[in-house]
Amino acid sequence: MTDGPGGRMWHLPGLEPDGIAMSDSGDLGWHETRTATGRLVRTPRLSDRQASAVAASVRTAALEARSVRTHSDVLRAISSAALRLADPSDVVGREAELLLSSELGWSPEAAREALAGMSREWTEHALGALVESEIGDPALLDQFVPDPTRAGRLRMAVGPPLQFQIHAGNVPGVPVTGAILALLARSGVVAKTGADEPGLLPLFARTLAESDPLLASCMAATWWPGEDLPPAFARWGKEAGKVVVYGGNSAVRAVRQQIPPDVEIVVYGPRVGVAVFLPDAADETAALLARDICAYEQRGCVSPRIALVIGSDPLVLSDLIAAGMEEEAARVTPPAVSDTEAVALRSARAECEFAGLEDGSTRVSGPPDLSWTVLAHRDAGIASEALPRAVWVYGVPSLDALDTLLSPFEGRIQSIGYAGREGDADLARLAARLGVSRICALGEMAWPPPDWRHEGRHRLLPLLTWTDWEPGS
Amino acid sequence: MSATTGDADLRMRLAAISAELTEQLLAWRGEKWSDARFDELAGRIFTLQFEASTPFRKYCVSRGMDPGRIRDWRDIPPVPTAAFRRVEFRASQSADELLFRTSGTTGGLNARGRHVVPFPELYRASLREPFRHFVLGGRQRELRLLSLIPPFATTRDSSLGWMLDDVIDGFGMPGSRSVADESGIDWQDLESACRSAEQEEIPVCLAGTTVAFSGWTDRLEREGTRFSLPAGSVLMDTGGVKGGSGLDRADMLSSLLPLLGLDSVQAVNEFGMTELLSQMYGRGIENPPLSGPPWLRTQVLDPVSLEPRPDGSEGILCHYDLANVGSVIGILTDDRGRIGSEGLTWLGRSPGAPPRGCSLATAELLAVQDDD
Repeated sequence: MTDGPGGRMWHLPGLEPDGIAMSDSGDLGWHETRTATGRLVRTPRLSDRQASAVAASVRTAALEARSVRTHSDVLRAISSAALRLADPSDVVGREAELLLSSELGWSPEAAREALAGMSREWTEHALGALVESEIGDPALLDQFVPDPTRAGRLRMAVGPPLQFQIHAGNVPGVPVTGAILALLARSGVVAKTGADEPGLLPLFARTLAESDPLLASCMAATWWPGEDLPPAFARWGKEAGKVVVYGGNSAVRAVRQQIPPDVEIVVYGPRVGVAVFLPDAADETAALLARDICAYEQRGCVSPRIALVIGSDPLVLSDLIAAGMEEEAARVTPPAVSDTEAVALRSARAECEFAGLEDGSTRVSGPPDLSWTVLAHRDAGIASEALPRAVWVYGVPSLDALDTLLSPFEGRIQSIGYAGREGDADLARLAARLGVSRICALGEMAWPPPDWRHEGRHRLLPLLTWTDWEPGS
Repeated sequence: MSATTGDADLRMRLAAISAELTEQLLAWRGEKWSDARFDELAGRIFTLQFEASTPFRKYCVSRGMDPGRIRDWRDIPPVPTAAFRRVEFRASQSADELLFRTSGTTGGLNARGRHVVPFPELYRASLREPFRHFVLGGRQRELRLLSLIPPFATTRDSSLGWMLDDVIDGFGMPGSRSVADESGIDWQDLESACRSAEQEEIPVCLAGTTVAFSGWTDRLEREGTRFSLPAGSVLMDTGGVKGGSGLDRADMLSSLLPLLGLDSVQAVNEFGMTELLSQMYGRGIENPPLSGPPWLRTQVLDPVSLEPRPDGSEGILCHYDLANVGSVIGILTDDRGRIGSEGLTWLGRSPGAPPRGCSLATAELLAVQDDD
């Protein structure tokens, strides 16, 4: 059968190809769903034995890779395979574009741009910088290295032989980065992909297999419905030394119930991006906000969906943002909105329009096809919804008022993008108090540098276990 | 939002058309209305509402619409239900006016919709005959009406409570009443009323929300209570199933009806909205197609373009209710549905902003925290 652009939605080493259709307990069949675009997603149901076989095979491969591949071998191999996904001149890159288009309904240029954006953190240089910033000496991932902080001691840091990662599937490429981090930690990784975008991680694994089959067999990826772990996949949780979950509380709880209590879970929870225009922000910065909004079709936790305007008229600014949104739409065609999104967008537009109908305190901008929407309110507010290319703009009288407005979101704001200088240090201090992981210029929100501390934490370090060797005399 | 009220002359003209409609609606006995009749009334009402309601006029003008440009009722700009959370659409005012509020369980942005009803007599007229026709099969004072909805006096804002008070008053046999108040449903009272009806062989009309009937089903099953309600009894449920409750109406009725000695044709589903004064009804248990009175017309629209979709295809529902003389007649909903030869199939509220990965609505982000 054909699986459409991007090929199979799974990568399960350790199973004979025939073993999938015909399992040891008879044909267990398939998990099936369709993405919002109607793209079929088919992954095999696995028996307990098959799931265990996959985990065992990944684990064995990871241990073998530790002895026959150095850190720099791994870095080079995974970086070059990942970069092929983002290379439009490479057959793999074209396949990746078609895949994202079919899964997410994105235009080819939107898919290309998203892949290009993600690939910024997949270069050897970026990954090397990440490793160095978090652990200092990359040799620690290969062998015991003398510890400069304590004479006579040696240290090494590697991840567990098996990690289990559960992805939310919002921003394409995040599961690829997740697998890359696991491989850098010298772990094997079994991963559940997100239902919206389950294809890119298996495509990455197949691409890696072309150049380094051993490393490709250190990873497995598939999808199944629901937040609970089916019994077969619950084994993955039981056998993994670390579990990484992208998702909300219910997803985390479902996983926690099925893994041993002492296994550490690294959680990447729901967050939002916020844009702030300081009183001296230049008009041109509105267009930069539009770029941040449209990046990854606003599916990321770094994507701004609220813009707070201090000391100038948010309605006037909203016209500038709208002009930027229009330019973005001309540059990268927005995907068609779904019926559900259309109803919600229309409702949000109506809510905004009618809130200001009598006193002119609101302004709705956006084309009739609903492909982008700017909802501006002269009064302070914080309400927003997760709708495509939609931003809520509010006027805020002062930084103090901003503090009051954002305080309830402590620990829930991923990043703040801002324009202007007046009060920027106060804003940065507020960001630190609220647990915001990054505050940066507008136009940069969607593209954090590789050594950014996602959710304010290290990215590689939590996956590693340190071993101190204090040699006997 | 401050109310906008037309001048005295306008109010008189609205009152006149309201009185005229009241008479026509009370005289309705199931016949269809011609397009011309609907159009003529819709055009007159729209013209008055356009003049009388400033927010509505602004809304129409911003869409390039005014009474001079309307070719037929479909051109009248429908007001999205979300607008009722922000604006009071008031075409007139009166001393005995009613104010209904939406339940506030949907919509997300924490405001309840408000629907002001300056002409209660027209509301009464819009609900009475259709209730008798679709629910009671034309009968009057032949059933005992038992309502699981608190009387209007206890909540003061539920259009459903007002409606059931009125049909109990207008059509119920002695003993008809509500068995609920603001603190909940008195199950013992309900069950003893059913037992009496059984013994007296008086058919009953049970009316309540789908959720309330589900609660009753559980109670009857738990306690092993059974009824054999007299022939001609009816069960009317309303409210449908709100997203996420996990409640399936057909499943619930399949369990409940046998416990009451009723069969599926004795179940009627009522569809109503706070923003609409008229109702629709469907008979049966498996999402029965809905029909309503001829002064209520429904279109299925493409959610993106708002162009009408052909019969049989799914879209969002847009209702035109001539009984809404006191507010606005065109209502654009967030409901999905389909029109077929049998009537309107309601497919549920559109689920709202779908999840976009880890990017959530701000309200949900706060909920995540509360949940911690």
